[in-house]
Amino acid sequence: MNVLLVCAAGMSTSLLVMDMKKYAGEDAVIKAVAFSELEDVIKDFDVILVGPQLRYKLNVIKAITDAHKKPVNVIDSLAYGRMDGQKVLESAKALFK
Amino acid sequence: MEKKTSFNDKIIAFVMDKLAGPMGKIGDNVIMTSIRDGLIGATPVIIIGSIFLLLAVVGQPWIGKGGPLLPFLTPFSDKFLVAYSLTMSILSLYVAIGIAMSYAKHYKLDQMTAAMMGVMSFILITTNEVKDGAIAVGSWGAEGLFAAISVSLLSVWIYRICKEKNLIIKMPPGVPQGVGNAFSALIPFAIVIIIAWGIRTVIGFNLVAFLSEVMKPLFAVTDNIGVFAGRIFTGMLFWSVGLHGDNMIIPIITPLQTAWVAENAKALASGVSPYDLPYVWTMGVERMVLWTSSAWGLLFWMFRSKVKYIKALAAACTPAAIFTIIEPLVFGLPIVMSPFLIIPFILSATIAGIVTYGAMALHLCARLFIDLPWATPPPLYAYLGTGGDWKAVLLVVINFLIGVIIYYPFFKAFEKSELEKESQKELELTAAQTKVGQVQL
Repeated sequence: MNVLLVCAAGMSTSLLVMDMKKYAGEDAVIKAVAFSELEDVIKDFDVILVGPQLRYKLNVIKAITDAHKKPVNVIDSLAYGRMDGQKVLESAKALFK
Repeated sequence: MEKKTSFNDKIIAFVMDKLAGPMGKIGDNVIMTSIRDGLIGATPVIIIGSIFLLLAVVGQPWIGKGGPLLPFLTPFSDKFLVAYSLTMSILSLYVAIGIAMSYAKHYKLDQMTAAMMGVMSFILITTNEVKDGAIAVGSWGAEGLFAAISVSLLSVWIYRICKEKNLIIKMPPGVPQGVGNAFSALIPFAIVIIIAWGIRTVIGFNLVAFLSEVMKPLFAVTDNIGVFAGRIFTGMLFWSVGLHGDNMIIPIITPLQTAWVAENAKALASGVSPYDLPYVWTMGVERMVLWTSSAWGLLFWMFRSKVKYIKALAAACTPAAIFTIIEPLVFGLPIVMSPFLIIPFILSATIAGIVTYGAMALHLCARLFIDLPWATPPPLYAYLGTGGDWKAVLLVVINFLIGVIIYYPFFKAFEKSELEKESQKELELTAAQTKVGQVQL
């Protein structure tokens, strides 16, 4: 399962990605990108997670993910702030099913 | 708790619908995003050019009354200035290319073609003479920024329209259409050249000078303490409800800030004292104000907290917070939607903003004339940005203290509430264990 996280600049989210990678398998690909790159890379990923501070852009993002038939959801605010990689990874798995 | 929740909900709804919604829509407009992304593309050139200006300036007796700050750099000042003059000082040229390409990317047009159109239209709209192999680049600085924005967008728009309307040259029978196609590709270029050259060289209309005159009163009205404080307040309000406050404001304010910092650099390079530069509101000033007060001030108290998770979180969030990355703190504590912490969060930054802007407006502190990467630790940004004015660093410390003072009563209330929750949890845990013990008996 390849997980894509969409953030504003990708900085705070990349800290979360590092934590997620601890709990993910060897073959899982997890990447954080800025919103402007979403359309370029979306086809390589299975699940799209959006940083809570971009919640106001969810409609725009959903239009893109729907067009590519990928599931999308906003990352839980507290899990995001506490860099809880395990919790966020679980939510990605739930979304993937 | 019920009452607080519905009040919270009302605030979220209000901020989202009445403020964030409309601002988000403006920020998402394709013209705004093209301008923003184009400016971002040109930023490395601007920052590095800034650094060369700084190197030139510290070798000259402009700052630090008396001798130069770093005398060993004095012989190189002229050469450093050349690097500045060919980068930050002509930033509009680079921005024209960036914006043209961003706009093309959005409409899935060929970016190479767009880049050519952008740079070509900008050169032609600003230049009406080539003398002894030289062209005047005076209008390629901050002065030409809005002209660069206008013509780059306009020229790629023309390219887009030509493509959509499928303007081709039909060849007479017997000649393959491929021949016509080769000429058709020239149509948008021909249109743009004729318009730009026609305006500047044939008619003699100076778009740069015209826009510069139009923008001057707008700049004067916008670069003031009220609007600055309003921007800080609004940004912090958005963060309070969990939205990326700066992200929504940046597309609107960045073109102005870029013009302002470039004008400051130009003034400095021509000998104006850093205390008297034309504009206050550069990006660096925001970085001196926002998180030094509202984040670092809070972290100060968090480190001293008796609540275990708060102290642990402080340690986890600090490394990133030094570089002004504050999402872990804002979403992790959380500050977002916290009835205790939202008020000091917004208030400390706003007051810090008023103090900092006020100090610079009153010529008590030097103004910034360079842009650095946004994550530069604020004390360093303040020092380098003003060419070495320690008063700027002092302002950062003052902002931190403003945060410390304002947070104190609110944090104490927050901590008390968390301590009660902690002891309540321990009580329940003990009660559950006692019950189990009783059952086993």
